[in-house]
Amino acid sequence: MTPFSPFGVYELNPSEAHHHHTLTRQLADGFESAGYLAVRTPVIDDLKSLIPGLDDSLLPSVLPLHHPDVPDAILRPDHTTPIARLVASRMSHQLPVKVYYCAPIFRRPAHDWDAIEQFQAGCEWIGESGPHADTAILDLCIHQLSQLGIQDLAIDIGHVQLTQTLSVTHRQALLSGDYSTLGWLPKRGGIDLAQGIPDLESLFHSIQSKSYSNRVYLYQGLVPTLSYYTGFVFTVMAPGYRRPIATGGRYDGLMGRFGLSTPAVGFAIHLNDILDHR
Amino acid sequence: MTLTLAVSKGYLLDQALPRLAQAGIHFDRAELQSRRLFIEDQTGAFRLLQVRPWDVPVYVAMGAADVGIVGHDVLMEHDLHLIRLLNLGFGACQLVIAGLAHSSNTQLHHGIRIATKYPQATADYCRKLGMKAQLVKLYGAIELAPLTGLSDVISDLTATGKTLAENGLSVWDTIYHSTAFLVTNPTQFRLHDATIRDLVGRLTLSTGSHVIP
Repeated sequence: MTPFSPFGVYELNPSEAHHHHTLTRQLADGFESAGYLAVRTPVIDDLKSLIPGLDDSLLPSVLPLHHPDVPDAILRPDHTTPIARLVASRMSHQLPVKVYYCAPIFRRPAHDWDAIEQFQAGCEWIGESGPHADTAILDLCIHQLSQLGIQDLAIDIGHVQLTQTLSVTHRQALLSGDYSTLGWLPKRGGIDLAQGIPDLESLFHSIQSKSYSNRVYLYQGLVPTLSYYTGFVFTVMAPGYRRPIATGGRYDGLMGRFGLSTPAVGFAIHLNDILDHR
Repeated sequence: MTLTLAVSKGYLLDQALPRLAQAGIHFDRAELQSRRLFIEDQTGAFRLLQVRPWDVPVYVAMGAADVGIVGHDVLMEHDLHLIRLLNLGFGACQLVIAGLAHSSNTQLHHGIRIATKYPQATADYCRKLGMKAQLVKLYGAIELAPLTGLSDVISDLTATGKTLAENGLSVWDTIYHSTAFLVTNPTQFRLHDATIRDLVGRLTLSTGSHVIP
């Protein structure tokens, strides 16, 4: 019997590889025209050196690797964390920096149908704060997805402050998706839901003139779960995709964990579903 | 756009149909009994998939169905991030620990062997009690297990307790109460925002549950 590669990792024949390269090259070109520079982080990493920045919720999906000389060797579980370490350790004198990546991360699959190898292409703007940076990141992400020909995008915006007025029980119900206990479906609409959060008001104001502004929703159910998120977050969805095709937001809390307190904002496009969608 | 509903075949479907009808969503009886895998309602706005209870969460998580009607008991066994939109109230039953009524030992103890179709919820229950138990996963006729010595006790669903009593079993403890829920996945919820909110609103009115759409 002919052996096969395992499920959940990518093995591409020439036509699949061509499709993959076309897509990733287009994204890389788009990021470079926007002033972002390519970086690479290690595929094999050391958990101890990433742990300051890795969110606890990610730990169960980290894939350990048996390595005789690196006791805590793991496969790269995330891009933002090793990029934060790279910028803090080697690029701190160049701030602000705009970097991008186009590479897989590796996670322990939670279900039979989940991939181990997850391709992501994304940008991080480190050392810059303010609504202009938030808007630029959102705009670049949506522009790139549109360039890939993905139609009818739906863009949801959330913010860490949206749940601050909720009781502990309600907050827990909202986070776990138990809206029957919450007692209401989280509202999804326009700027009137911003509850006076200045970040959101500026963001909505500055995207008013964009062609996609009528597809941007403020969604009270979008609550950042990673502890280093400090401001707005967004997810981009499209018909025919069962999960978001891109996610991003402001994470001013991350860089400080690597000893360089500076703001940051970024996004990742989740390429597996886009590559498989033909 | 048509909204696809996956409903658990069997007693939940029987109870869901009148509730859907009260909400103005009518499926044809004859079509339901035909061998067709999915049918549309009279308006064509809804499509119904009749699937096995254990498969409903998977259909919804994978986006093959936009919403599902499924019991809390089934949701508790799946590790899928689904949104619970509404407690529909019907299909009430309990997951209980039951043992032989004449057994002198009505105490759960370390090393006890429990036969069940619900290993996740049963393991959670044991963990909370700080009790180490040996779980035996079975797929049916759970009541047989203590009678044949396969297990000490069982953890099983009961609505009336009749089947338990018929087999000489009595309830030692209740793990949870279960009813049917309307569920969706976080992405479908937003891609079908208006339609799903409308459905929740209509079912809220017809079930008396309280979720503001």
